[in-house]
Amino acid sequence: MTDTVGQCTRIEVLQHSGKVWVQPAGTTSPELFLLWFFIGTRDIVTNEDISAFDRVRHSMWVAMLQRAMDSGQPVTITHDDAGAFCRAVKVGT
Amino acid sequence: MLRDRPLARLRPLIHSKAASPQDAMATLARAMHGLPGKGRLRITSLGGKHSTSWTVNHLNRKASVERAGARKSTAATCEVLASDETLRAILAGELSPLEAFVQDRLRIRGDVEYARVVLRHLASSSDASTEVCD
Repeated sequence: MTDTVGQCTRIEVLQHSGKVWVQPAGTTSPELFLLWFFIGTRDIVTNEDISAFDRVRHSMWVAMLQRAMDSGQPVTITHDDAGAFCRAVKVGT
Repeated sequence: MLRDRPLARLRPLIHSKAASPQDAMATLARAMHGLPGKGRLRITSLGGKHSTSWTVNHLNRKASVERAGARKSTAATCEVLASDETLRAILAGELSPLEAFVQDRLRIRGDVEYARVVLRHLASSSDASTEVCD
């Protein structure tokens, strides 16, 4: 697992996906992370049947990120070294 | 929700199972010839404690590649990060980079639209989708 720390520059909530862009200090390139993703293709079918806990957690993540973006507080996204799915979201230092 | 259009894959840039991403970088730069506009695409292979990066500099329908080192601090338009194994599958045309992204096997920094333009140029099929959420 890896932590990426930076400013939340954009949040996007669509019907089947949630995304956040985080720009680490000293860089000009925000990184795109997936908060959740439930879109299926011919090759990928993801499970939309998630628990109520996960739905609440996703909602809390969006609320935390929104507040951090408004207040300018840094956020920490925990994710796999080679993956873009958020495992945890923290706000503040 | 299911989608009918398959996600875009690259036309194969690696043909041998033993080939590494490094073997494909010069081919990748050549394949980007003809692409209008400009940009700097960085590809980073995450391998254990050490990561390796290459930068494809693309300008006016030509492109060249360099191993990122002393000039790594030069900002890239877009950077793609993945394991050696995932990069090899993408460069061999076996795995769509979009598929890799939604399977938690690829990260992307910077201008996602530029990555989409490059993918469209390198795609094996013009009918394939370059959007994960369309």
